[in-house]
Amino acid sequence: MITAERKPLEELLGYIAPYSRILLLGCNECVTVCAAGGRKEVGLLASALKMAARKSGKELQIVEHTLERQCDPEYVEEVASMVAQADAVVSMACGCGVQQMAMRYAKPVFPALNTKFMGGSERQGVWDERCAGCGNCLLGVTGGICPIARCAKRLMNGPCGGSANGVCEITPDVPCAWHLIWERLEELGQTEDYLEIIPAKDWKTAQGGGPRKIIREDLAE
Amino acid sequence: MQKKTKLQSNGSVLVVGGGLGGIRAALDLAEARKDVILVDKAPCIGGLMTQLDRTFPTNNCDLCTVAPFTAKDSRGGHLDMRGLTTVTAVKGKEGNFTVSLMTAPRFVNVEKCTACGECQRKYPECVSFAPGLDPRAPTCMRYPKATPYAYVIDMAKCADKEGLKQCCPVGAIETDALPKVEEAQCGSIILAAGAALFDPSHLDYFGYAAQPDVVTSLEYERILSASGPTGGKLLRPSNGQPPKKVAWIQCVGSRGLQKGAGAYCSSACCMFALKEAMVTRERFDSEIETTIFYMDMRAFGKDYEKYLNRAKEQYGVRLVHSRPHDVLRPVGMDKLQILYTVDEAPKHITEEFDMVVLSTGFKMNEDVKKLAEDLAVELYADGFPKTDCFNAVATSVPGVYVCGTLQGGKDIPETMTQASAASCLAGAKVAVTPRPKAELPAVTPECAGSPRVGVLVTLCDHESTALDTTALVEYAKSIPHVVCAAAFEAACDPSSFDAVKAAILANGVNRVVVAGSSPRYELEKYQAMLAPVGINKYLIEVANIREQAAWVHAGEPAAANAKAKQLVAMAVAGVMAAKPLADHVVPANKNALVVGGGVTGMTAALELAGQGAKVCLVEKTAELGGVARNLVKTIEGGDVQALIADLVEKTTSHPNIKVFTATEIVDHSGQVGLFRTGLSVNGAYKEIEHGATILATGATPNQPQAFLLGENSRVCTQLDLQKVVNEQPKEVKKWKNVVMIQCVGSRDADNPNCSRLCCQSSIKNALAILKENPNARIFVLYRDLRTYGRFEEYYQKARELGVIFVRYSVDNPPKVEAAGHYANVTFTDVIMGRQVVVSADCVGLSTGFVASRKSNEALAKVFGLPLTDDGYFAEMHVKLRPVDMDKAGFFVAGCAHSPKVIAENLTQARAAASRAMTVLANDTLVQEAKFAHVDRARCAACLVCVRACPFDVPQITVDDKGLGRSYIDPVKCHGCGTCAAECPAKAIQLNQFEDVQILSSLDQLLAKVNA
Amino acid sequence: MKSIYEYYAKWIREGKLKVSSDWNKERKVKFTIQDPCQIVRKTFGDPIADDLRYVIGKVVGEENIIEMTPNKSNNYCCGGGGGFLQSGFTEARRAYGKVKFDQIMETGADYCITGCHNCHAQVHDIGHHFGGHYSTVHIWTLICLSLGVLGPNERAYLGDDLKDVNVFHPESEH
Repeated sequence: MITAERKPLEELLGYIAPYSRILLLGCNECVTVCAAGGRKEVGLLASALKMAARKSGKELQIVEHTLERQCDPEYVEEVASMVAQADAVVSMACGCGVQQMAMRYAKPVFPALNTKFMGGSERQGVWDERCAGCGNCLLGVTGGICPIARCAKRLMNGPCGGSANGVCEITPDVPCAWHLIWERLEELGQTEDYLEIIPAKDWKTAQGGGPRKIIREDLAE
Repeated sequence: MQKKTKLQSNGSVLVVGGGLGGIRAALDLAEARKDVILVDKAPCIGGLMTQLDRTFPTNNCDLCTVAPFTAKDSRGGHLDMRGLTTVTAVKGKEGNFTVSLMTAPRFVNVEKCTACGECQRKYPECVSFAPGLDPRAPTCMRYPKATPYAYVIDMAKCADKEGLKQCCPVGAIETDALPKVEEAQCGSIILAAGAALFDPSHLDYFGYAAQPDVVTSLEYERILSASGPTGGKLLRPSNGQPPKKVAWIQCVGSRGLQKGAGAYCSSACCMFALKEAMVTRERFDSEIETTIFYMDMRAFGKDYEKYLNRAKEQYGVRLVHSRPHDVLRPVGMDKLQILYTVDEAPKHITEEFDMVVLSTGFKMNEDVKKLAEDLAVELYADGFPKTDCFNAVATSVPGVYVCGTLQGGKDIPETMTQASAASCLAGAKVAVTPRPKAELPAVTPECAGSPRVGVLVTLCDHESTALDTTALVEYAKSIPHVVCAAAFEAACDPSSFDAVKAAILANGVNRVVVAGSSPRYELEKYQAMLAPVGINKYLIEVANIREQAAWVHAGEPAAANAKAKQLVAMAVAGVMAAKPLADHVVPANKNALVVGGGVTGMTAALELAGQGAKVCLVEKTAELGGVARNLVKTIEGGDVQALIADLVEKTTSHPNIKVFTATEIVDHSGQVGLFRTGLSVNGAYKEIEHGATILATGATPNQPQAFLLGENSRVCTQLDLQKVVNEQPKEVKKWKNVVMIQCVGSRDADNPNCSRLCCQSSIKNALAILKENPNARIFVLYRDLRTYGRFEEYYQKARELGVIFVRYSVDNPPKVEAAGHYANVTFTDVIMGRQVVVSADCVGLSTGFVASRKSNEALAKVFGLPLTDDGYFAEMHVKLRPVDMDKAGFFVAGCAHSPKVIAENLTQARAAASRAMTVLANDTLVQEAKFAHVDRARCAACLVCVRACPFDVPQITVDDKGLGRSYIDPVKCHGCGTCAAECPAKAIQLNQFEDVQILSSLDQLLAKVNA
Repeated sequence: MKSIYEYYAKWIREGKLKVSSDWNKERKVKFTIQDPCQIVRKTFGDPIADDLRYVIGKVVGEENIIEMTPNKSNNYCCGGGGGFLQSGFTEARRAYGKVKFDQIMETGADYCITGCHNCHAQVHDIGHHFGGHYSTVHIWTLICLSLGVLGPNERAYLGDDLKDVNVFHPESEH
């Protein structure tokens, strides 16, 4: 899922300073799971903003709502009347949702979160980056471990000289992805695959080629 | 419906004595659907506890926890309560007693009397109700809200019968009522008539008869008590002035010290003296100096050592180790003078005090002694009944049981335990009597119309000196949607419920706020009251203005009152948002699970099985018997091994008991009456269903690293020592010197409480050694000798036989060093003022017990139960519910509760069985609406609730739309609320604590902020 | 095992011992009573103390008795027993006995009657040491005096006021 973290309150107060009627919009999917932008976080942020406004003597009205998702036009449409009654929208969705809102509505839309990465849970409360969205998945030949998301240098063919004791040289908290790949290949009995050279990556399928689009001919009208 | 066994009769159980023990025994039996006749010779029930101001160790009145349940319409009509009644004759035998009961005339019709007090105002010479003013007449005091709540007339003193009759506005006075004699059939009898207190009048050197400022402990209680002669003000009887220095003298009338004293220890006086001293400083003036003159501080009960430490450290109670010589008031002196000396220096010390309290012990009541003799119950020379060393409630007469102080001096928890144990045994002889349940009016499922809130302020005045309840009631009336608000005094009195119900009906109240004490006490009581007036029992909120305002802010009345008002307003807001939830009635499982196969577990299992329940007895190790397997004899000479063999034989052959050894508990779910527990039987999984659970998992003999234990072969524990003495007498005969050290690994920072059984254990071993080897020199080094009850007599015997007892203090403990063949023990003798070194052949350490922390924690986790700080299982209420646990359907007995001797453990086992039977007696159970539920439309299937739940209840299940969403099984849910708090999608709500209810209360509290 | 006090009392009641307190009717000499620990507190208790008082009452007149406080089984030890007199710890013994001295002095009595030789020696000694005004006399002395059989050589402990009372000269009796 997409993970995100809430921006500092100061920053958000800065965004909404000129406005007195805010629609604070949560999302019930990824950001709920990582406890950043779900219904509960919406409630908590609304309280914090109201208290801050109270303290500075500012008039502030906040309408709280949470959509199932903010990345589909149908869901975003549901809040039309609420947006009409607001001066600005603060979206607690990931960047996708914020932009979907902005595309639809001619009102200022501010992000409440910093969207981080695509990842999964290691355990409750801990998420790590797993996928870089490179557009040409090679997990099948790297034992299910992604060297693009998990190797700091995005190497294709084994660890660099900085890898020591299975740990990346950037920080001891990050395991060396190629070390993990090797161990996995050992576990699967596929160590021969290591000797197959993966050619230089064509980054056009990744962000390097500009914003990407998928069109499914069989689904799109 | 239980089958009647051939031992069971159709009669009732007769309970003689309506004090705390009698009430508990009667209620247990009534709840188990057996008929009970409860008689008391006084006009109202309540006994000694109602005359006490506060009781240890909670230091509060607590009457509200017991008294309301004696209301006539409660307990399904099984309870026949008769005041002014004595037993005049008994014939027959177990299963078929015929008792003659004589009820003296009250001259007042209890049904009609409204206790308006008119007759007492007009004819005070013959109408009694209010407690007597004489602080020295302990028998005339009854608490203000007595049961039955009616007056009593002494017709002999009435000069104008016609006038008296006419003055009653409801015509309740019956001037020509006659004594009634009735016969009743009883299957068994429980004697719970309490004990008398020692009268120190003949002890001229204490000055009790001559000096008004020398009082007994009960008289002091009356002075402190709000219903007493001074209205609860602490004043010197001689001049009505507040005292500045009060002294207590312990052991008056016990431990064979004075003429007419019992040789036993009365077991409760150390604790109640501490309590009186603490209450004096806390409630009256923290500057009053309180001094207790004592011989041994016997704080041996569960957590009592901590109470003693609090008294010393927090309350500054002064303890002087001394037996004062006398209490005098020299001519011309206003104060009393105590002459005493202390261990450290042989000189006279005279100290002045304003009041002296003599801690008088218990003795057998003469009337009761006569009744016991009529019943042919064997008595000791001092008049107390003889009971079996393994069964403290069974007398020499089958079918006649005893409990409470009638059996010997004791504290309230022990009385309650014995009462339940007695009712277990007595009830086994009597069949269940089916009675039709009272018809209740239909409860409207929806709250009809707009909210109409009734606020009931139920706080006793004497609990809340800081609060102005009148002002609170007026404030409550001003809150929107409150249609009626009133104060109901002393809500420990069942008759106040009638007034409450009347107020509710008169005002069309459909939601209730109770402003009283903790929901723990108030909720169940008031919920039971709502059904008969047609209100859904979940439309109620309790504002705890006692603990949270009156008590915690006792010194700041203005703040306390403001807070109380806020709490009430919040409760009103909360109850406005409450939902009328529905309970479900489900068939109940009548089987029991007993965890722990020691002597306690086996006894509990046998009692339950004997009353028709099917029992699973689970034991972790491969064998039954527990720690008792290491014991040979009790101090009285009881054969422990024979007891175990007998219990094992009966348990393994009983058709109603299934024994699982080498078995652990692995999971558990459900609620009372509907439990499901997973066992690992030798590794294989098995699930059982049961309605009640008894924990009898025992404790672990302590093996502290102290005094070379484990390092030197001369040093051993008392448990090891008793084995050596019994099995190697030749070895014992060679011993010259034996040293025993008490309190090793107990009463210290790691294990703050007293292990209770070590003092008697040392003396048992000392006497056994001397029997083998009369020339052995035995030294017992102790801090306080805690030979309570009849153990005291063995202590005296040991002293007579020459055992040397030396007191040591915590900051100067003895030392043990290896010395070749011997172990040298060095200690300081205070009297001689020098060190002594004994070359000991054997050093016996009283190491006591510690909780089996690891296994208790594991079980606590599986079952969801609380533990005390020391790691023992926590009972619901230390005084009044010693074997019940907070979680309904769970009971605890034996050393799993706290360490104690076998007789006490078995009594607790029987008590737990009795309490469990009150659950298992039901065919159906109400499944309360205490669970969390998921709004599946909001659920994001994020797994937070699945991970967070301590009981692994939520599961992601696929609904009919094919969506995976969380589902919480209402039967398994424990209602802890963790999932509701954690859910990031706010998809989970906990019944009775929904967000809207909590937020409404908070909005009310922060109304000024929100505005 | 019995104490002679019991027999004194019995014999006086039965008339076998014909004591009389007439000698003290006019004189009104005042007496206080020591309760010996071994006899009273440790062994027979208040009953024997009561017998002793009965005897003394008959011998000196009840109205001439002033009780110490406390008394009978609760009376303080004088400090002479248990070998203290013979122990050699004279200073300690006297310090211990100060309490008894104060007790006796407080009564204001002229004589302290001691029914035990140890008590007698101690009470006499502390009386002198602390400068008391009382004399110490044994119960048998007074019984004999009141019987009229106390000879001139048996009056070592009587004060001057009683030296010549009822002197018995056997050689001059019939």
